Amino acid sequence: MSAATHTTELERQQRLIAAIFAPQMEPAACPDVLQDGARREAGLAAYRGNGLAHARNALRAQFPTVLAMLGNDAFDVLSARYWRARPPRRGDLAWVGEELPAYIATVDSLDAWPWLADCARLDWAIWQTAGAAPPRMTHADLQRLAAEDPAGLSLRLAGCTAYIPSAWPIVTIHLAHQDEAADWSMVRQAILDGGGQTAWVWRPQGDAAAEVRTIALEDAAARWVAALAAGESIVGALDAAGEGFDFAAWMQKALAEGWLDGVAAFAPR
Amino acid sequence: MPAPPLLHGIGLRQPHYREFRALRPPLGFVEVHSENFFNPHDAASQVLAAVRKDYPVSLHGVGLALGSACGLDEHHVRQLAELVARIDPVRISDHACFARAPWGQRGIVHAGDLLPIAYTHASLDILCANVERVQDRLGRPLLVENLSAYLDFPERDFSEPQFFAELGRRSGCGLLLDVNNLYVNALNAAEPDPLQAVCGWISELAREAPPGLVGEIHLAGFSEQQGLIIDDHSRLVAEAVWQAYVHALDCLGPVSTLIEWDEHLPTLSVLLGQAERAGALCAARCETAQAAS
Repeated sequence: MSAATHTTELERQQRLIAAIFAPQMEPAACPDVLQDGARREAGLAAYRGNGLAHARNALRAQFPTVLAMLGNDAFDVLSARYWRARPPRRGDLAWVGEELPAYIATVDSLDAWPWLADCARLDWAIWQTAGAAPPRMTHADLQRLAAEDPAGLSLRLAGCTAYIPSAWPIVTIHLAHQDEAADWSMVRQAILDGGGQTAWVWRPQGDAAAEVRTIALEDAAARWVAALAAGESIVGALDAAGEGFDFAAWMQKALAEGWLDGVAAFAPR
Repeated sequence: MPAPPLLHGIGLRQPHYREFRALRPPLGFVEVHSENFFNPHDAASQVLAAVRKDYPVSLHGVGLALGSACGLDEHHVRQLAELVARIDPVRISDHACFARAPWGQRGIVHAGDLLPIAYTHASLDILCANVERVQDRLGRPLLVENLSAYLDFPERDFSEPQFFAELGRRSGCGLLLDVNNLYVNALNAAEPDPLQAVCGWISELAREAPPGLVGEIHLAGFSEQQGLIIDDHSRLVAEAVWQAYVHALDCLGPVSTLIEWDEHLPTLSVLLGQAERAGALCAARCETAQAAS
C-alpha cells in the first residue's frame, strides 16, 4: 500500500469521526458518502446515537450517585456533553467514565452542586475497586514487618482499596443514596455544616462476589492512609497520623479486610 | 448414524446468567462480548469461568476496530490476549469496521460503534495488517464479521463478498457471516427484493471464497428508527432472515450459528427457542450432507 492511499483512508476515517462527535446542530463535515440529504443525516445520527447510548449506559452503571442526584434527564444531558467534549480513548466501555469527575468540575451549570465532582470521584473509585486485583499480602510480609525497623519499611495499599479526600461530606451523600429510608435533613445539614470527609473504599479481600464497602475515615486515619499512599515509611505515616491513631487496631482490620498488598523497603522520594 | 453435533448457540447476557447456569440447556456453544470480560477480577469473569466448564465459549469483540487506518490499541490487544489465555475460546471474532482515528488535540479517539470501511485496496491492506497483527499475538485465526452499515463510500474496488474472500486468502482469517446485517443493509439500500439481494450476496461469497471461510453465522432481529433499519438485536429473527439463513446453509454447508439478542432481552426460553430453530435447520443440513456422502 502506498503512503498516499493509506493517508486517503486515514483522512476519510478522520472526517467521519469528526462528523460523529460534532455537535448535532452544526452542519456535519462528513466525508463523501453515497447517501445524501436526510438519508445521510439519518446514517450519521445512527452512529452518533449508538456510540452515545453505549457510553451513557456505561456511565449510568459507573456513576450511580451522580445519576441519583441529577436524575435521568439531566444525567443524560451531562453524558452527551461529556461524550462530545471528551470522546472515549478506548474501545473498552469499562473506562468510559475515567474523565467524568474532572469534566464535571469544569461545567459551569453544575456550580450549584460543588460536591458533585467529588461524589463522581467516589463513584469512580467504587467502580474501579469492584474490579481491582485481590490483595497480595503474604506471610513473608508479616514476618518482615515484625523483624525489621519500621522506619525502613512502608506499607503498600491494595489495589482493591481507594481513599478519596473531599471538602464535602461525600460519604454521607453516597450512603444516603443507597438507603431508601435515608434522613435527607441530616444530609442537607452535613452539606450546610461544610465538613469534609475522606472516603475509604474497599472490597473485602478482593473477593469478586463481595460488595464494595465505603466508610468515612476519622481524621487521624485519613492522615495515615494519605501518608501511606504517598509512600511514607511506617514511622513517617504514624507521625503524620498524630495523636489518636490506633496502629494495632488498624493493622488488625487491614489484615482481616485485605487492605494491604505487602511491605516494601522505604524509599524516600 | 451418529447424531449431528450441536452447532447452535446463544449470546449469554448478564440478566440470564443465573437461569442459564441452573438450566444448562443443550447448546453447541455460548458467545460473550470479549470486552465485558477483560477484567479477570470482577464478578462477571467468575461467571464466565464457571460457564466455560460446561460449554465452548466464543469470544466476540466490538472494540478492536480492525479497519482503523491509525492502527490498533495495544492495550486492547493485550487484554484480549490475556482473556483468550484464560478462557481458551472455541472462536474469536470482531468486526470489519473502524472506530479509532486521530481527533485534534485529543489524540486518537474511539467512536464506540462499528463504523464502515471502504471496500478499496487500501482498506483491505489496512484490515489485513491489523488482523495479522492480532492473529500473530493470539497465535490463532480470527473471524471477521461483515457489518450493517448506515453509510457507504462511493470508492469501491471490490464487491463486499470479494473483499471478505480476499481478506481470508491474504490474512488467513475467517468470516463471521452475519445474515441479519446483510438483510439490514439490503433494506436500507431500498433493494427491490431484499431477500434476493441477500441470497445473491451469499451465493457470490460461496463462489469467491476459499473453502471453509465462514466459521460462524450470526442471526438477530432489527428495528426501524427514524426511517432507518437499525441492527440493534432487539427482536425475533425476521422470517426473511431465516430464509436467507437456509440459503446460506445450502451454499456453505452446516456452520455454527448464534442467536444475538442485546436490547429488550426476552426470556431465556424465547432466546433458546430461536437457537433451537437454527439448530434444527443446521441438523437437517448435516443429515442431507451425510445422506449425500
